[in-house]
Amino acid sequence: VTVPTPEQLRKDNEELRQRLEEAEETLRAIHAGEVDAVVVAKSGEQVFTLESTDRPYRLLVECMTQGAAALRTDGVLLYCNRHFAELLGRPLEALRRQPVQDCISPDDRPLFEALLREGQTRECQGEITLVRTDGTTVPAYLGVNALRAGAAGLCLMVTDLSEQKRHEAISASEALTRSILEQTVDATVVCDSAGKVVRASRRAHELCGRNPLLLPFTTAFPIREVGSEGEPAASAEVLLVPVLEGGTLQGRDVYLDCPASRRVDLLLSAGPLRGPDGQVAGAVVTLTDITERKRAENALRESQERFRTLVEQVKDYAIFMIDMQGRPTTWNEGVRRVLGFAEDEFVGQEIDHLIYTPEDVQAGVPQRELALAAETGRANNDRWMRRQDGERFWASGITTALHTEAGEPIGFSKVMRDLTSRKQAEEALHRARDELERRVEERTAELQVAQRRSLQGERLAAIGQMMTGLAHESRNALQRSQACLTVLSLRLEGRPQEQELLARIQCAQDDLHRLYEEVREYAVPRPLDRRLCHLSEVWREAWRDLAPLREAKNAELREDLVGVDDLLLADPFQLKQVFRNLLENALVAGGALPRIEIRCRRAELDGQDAVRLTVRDNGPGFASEQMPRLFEPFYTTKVHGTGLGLAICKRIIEAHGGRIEVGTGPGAEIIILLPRREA
Amino acid sequence: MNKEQPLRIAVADDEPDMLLFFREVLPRLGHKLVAEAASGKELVQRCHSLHPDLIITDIRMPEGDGLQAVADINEHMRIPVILITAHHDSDVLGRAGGDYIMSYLAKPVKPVDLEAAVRLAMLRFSHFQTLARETDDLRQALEDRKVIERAKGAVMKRVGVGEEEAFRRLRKLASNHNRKLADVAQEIAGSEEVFRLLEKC
Repeated sequence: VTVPTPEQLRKDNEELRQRLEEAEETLRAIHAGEVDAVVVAKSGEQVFTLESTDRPYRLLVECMTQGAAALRTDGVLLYCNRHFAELLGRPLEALRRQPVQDCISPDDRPLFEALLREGQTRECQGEITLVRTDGTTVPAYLGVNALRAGAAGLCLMVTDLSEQKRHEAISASEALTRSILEQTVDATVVCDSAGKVVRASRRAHELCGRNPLLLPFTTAFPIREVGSEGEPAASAEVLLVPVLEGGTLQGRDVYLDCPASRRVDLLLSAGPLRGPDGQVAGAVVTLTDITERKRAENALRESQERFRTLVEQVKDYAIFMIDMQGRPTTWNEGVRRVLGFAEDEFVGQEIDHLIYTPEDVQAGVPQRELALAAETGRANNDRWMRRQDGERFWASGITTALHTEAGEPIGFSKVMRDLTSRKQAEEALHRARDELERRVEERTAELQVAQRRSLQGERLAAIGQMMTGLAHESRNALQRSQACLTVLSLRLEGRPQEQELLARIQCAQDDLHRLYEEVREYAVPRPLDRRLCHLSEVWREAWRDLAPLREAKNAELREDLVGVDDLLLADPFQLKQVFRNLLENALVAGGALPRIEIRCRRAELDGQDAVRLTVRDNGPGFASEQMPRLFEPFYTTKVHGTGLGLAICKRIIEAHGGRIEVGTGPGAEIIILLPRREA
Repeated sequence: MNKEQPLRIAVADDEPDMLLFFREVLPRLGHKLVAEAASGKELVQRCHSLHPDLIITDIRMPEGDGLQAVADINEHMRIPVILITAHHDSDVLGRAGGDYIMSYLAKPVKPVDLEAAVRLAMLRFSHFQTLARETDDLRQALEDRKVIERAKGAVMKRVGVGEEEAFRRLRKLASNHNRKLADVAQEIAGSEEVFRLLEKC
């Protein structure tokens, strides 16, 4: 047994006093007929109903769907029916003798106070918001009037406005929803929790092809998800289940699986539809028609695929991309063919050292090429490049800069092919052209020389014609002079002084005569009269003819032709003149004791069998400045010379198809090459 | 100079100086200048009347050039010619032709050239003449032979002897009458012709 504390006892006392008061109040109420029943809630609920004459009224009040209450003028509740208590969300017992103000939202309390005041004198109404113990509010309509005359109390009638309010809100929201549904381009479908279509937008109707309302969603819209390859595609049932359980679906690729019509590709989004209570009441499904986009995407993908396949299969062109770091990112069959690299040897490697020649890498060619492509969009890459096996080939192609749509550079594409054979052909062509040009130039030069020669020939022919006439007339004049000279000489016989003078005139005249003869000889060459002759015999005859000239000098001619065949086809009389001129010059140059050597050798001239003759004396030889002019007509180093001797020699030798030139000595040396021309 | 018979020479040149030259030089060479002509025509006239031993002529002259003149002269008589020319070109020499042109002299002519040319010309002409005489003799011999054969045939026919006997009797006849065999034969052949005509009458 526990001994109660004073505190406990005080509490017990207070409780007892309150119960006493309640009991007295109850009794008073029973007496006053205010109580219909008494509920004793001590051990199990016991209701004691008090029978009285106004019981039918009480029952009526209890059955009212409106809340009814009697209040003191200060707002304390005296009595209320069951519905009033329900509206306020409180048990009846908790309300009695409590001010009703506690159940009014603070904002509405001034209105309530006013209603209490006004209600004592006349009937008045107003809308207020009731606050329940769980915090929810109930809009309510209050009617207030005095209980009966003389009694200090008010009658309060409460009508629940929440249903009405909800209806107004719902219809407004309904109108908005309908409008949204109709205006949306996408097909929007609302399903109830059983998965039946309860709302469908105009586009959804079109998509369904019939009235979808109250049909199961899966029947109205037999969609299937576009699964990844190999995976089974999810059906509409499977898709909707999680949504009806509160989940959402975002942008799932589905298609309308109706075999009758064309395939329609859709983008499905769905979310749960929740009621005011927060419970899932159904689902809202949005279907966006992406058939066109899908088709475009497919077309693009197919086109890209075709293009990729095409590029991969191109064999004659190496086509690949390189990134900004200069590493290939793609490969095609052409890379193998043209450059010799397998895909794994190529992609991701340093392009510079892969395909450029070391010289080009050294010279910075790859960087320049990419810089040019980046700047101008493209760059030629026609140059010698290197294959995987190190062999070089002539590459021809284009490097193109690649950009994103936004214009950001992302790399380069390179296309190249092997044009080595064409390049080689071109180079061969170039060489051939150069060769041709060179030959044309040579030929032109030859022609110019020939033209000059021909011009010279024409000039000589003109001179020759003139000389013929001149020589003829001169001879007549010389003849007259000679005649008179002779007669004079005869008449002056025995007068040595005059004879001496006459001899000098005669000598001058002879010189003049010889000059005419030589000029004529040079200007009007005689045609060749070729016959087989021994060269040595020809020069010996010339030597004999010169006997008067050389006898005084004790000159000597040495011949060197041991074992050489000196037989050739030539004009011996004209050749004799050549030898006479050469030997005469040698005799003059050789001084007091001339030693002349003629050497004869076998030789070749323009691929033909020929004879080389060298005539050399023991004189001082030619000065170097004389050499180039020796064969010019009228150029002479002698005091008494016409300057035509060597020119005539040259003319005769060249008429034979031979050549005459100056040797290096010692002494004066003339070299003659004569073709043999034997039959 | 010339130790042999002096030559009678005709010269032609349109240059007086040349005529002077020949006039002075030819006598020194031992020859005699018998005619001087200044044209081709004149040369022809003088040669016909004088019949010189040698002609020395220029080619180009007025009134018929030298070549034409010597060609005319040598149709009637045989006189050797030396041509003096300013040309020694082959075409002129080729055109010169004529077996009576014995030598050439190219201008200007000196006495020594002239002497050599005269000697050469006369030598060649002499050879030429000898040959011509021989030819005449041979031709005569051939002609005689023909007549003798004809006469021999007539004797064989008329006397009735063989060929050898006929020839022997002809020679004896000529010898007896101190006449040439050919002359006797000619007479016999002529007579035989007369008899043949008479027989036909």
